[in-house]
Amino acid sequence: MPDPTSDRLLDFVRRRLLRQKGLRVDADTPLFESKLIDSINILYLIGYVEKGLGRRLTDDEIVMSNFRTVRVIAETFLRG
Amino acid sequence: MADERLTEAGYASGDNGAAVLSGPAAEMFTRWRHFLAQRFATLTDVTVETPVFIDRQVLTASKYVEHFPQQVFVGRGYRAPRSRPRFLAPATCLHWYGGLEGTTVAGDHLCAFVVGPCARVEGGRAAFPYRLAAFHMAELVVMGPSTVLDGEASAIERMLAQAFRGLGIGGSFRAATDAFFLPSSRGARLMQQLKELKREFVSPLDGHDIAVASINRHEDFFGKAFRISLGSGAPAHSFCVAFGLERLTAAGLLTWGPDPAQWPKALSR
Repeated sequence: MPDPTSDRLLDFVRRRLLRQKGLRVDADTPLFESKLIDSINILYLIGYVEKGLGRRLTDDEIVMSNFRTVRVIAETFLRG
Repeated sequence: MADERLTEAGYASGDNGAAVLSGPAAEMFTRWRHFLAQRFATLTDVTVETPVFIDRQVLTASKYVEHFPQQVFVGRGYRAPRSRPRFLAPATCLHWYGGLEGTTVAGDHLCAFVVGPCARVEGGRAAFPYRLAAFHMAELVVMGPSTVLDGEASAIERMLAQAFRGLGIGGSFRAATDAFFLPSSRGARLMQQLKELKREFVSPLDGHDIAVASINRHEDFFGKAFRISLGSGAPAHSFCVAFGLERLTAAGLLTWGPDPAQWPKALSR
């Protein structure tokens, strides 16, 4: 079933964060184990989430269990 | 107060952010070192004693100067202010990594117990009794493939938590948020936090949360920086388990008091 929130985040990740062309990334691709996210684009990713939430994330929220994949991020933070 | 209890036990504030240990404090310092060496004996391939000076090249290759210039101590001869500067070691494991530069890890696994003096300025200042500018560090430094090291680091974390609790030192392991090998930028700090690369055993001591041990996963950072490879040619991964011996000594004196007869049997020599 289509998930607009997850799809928008996936589009952001593909267009803005991934520099290598030809990478196949879907909503369930592990972002960190695959080393797709580095110390620069993590800032953009968290900025995207914070913009969607309308507030800054707390340290307790910035844990791997909340950021493992696009789907997890969307379900944790962005689904109204 | 903690400071008075420590001073009475021989843990005295020296000049410039160092501690002078005598009597019970000196004895406990020795016992902690022995305790850690014994606890890790079955894992250890080699024991290493490191000096106070460290090669500039090691600090450069590890990017320590680049990432943490504010923490580096540099010394020169008193009578020779224009002499070549000598760098003080900010962490004992850097000596070990530097010594392995350009080598291949035999059998794809190497575990060293590394002990030596260190000097660094964290957060721009030292705070007695726990955050000293000059201290002794004991580290278990493990190198190998990530598939093996991840499990080993987790097993050591469980073992250490059990050991501390067995000694009556309460607390638990938790993810740390201070930068420790990556740059201190927000992005690097967030990456470190997300991946839980640094975990500390934090103990409540006199109303403060004090980290008495840390497990630091370096991934392949030092393997790449010092060209330390596995048999396959891939960079070795590494982690270290680090202890500040003065900090442990202060924690022990505050937990058990100055009388060695009251200290845990496991800490006896």
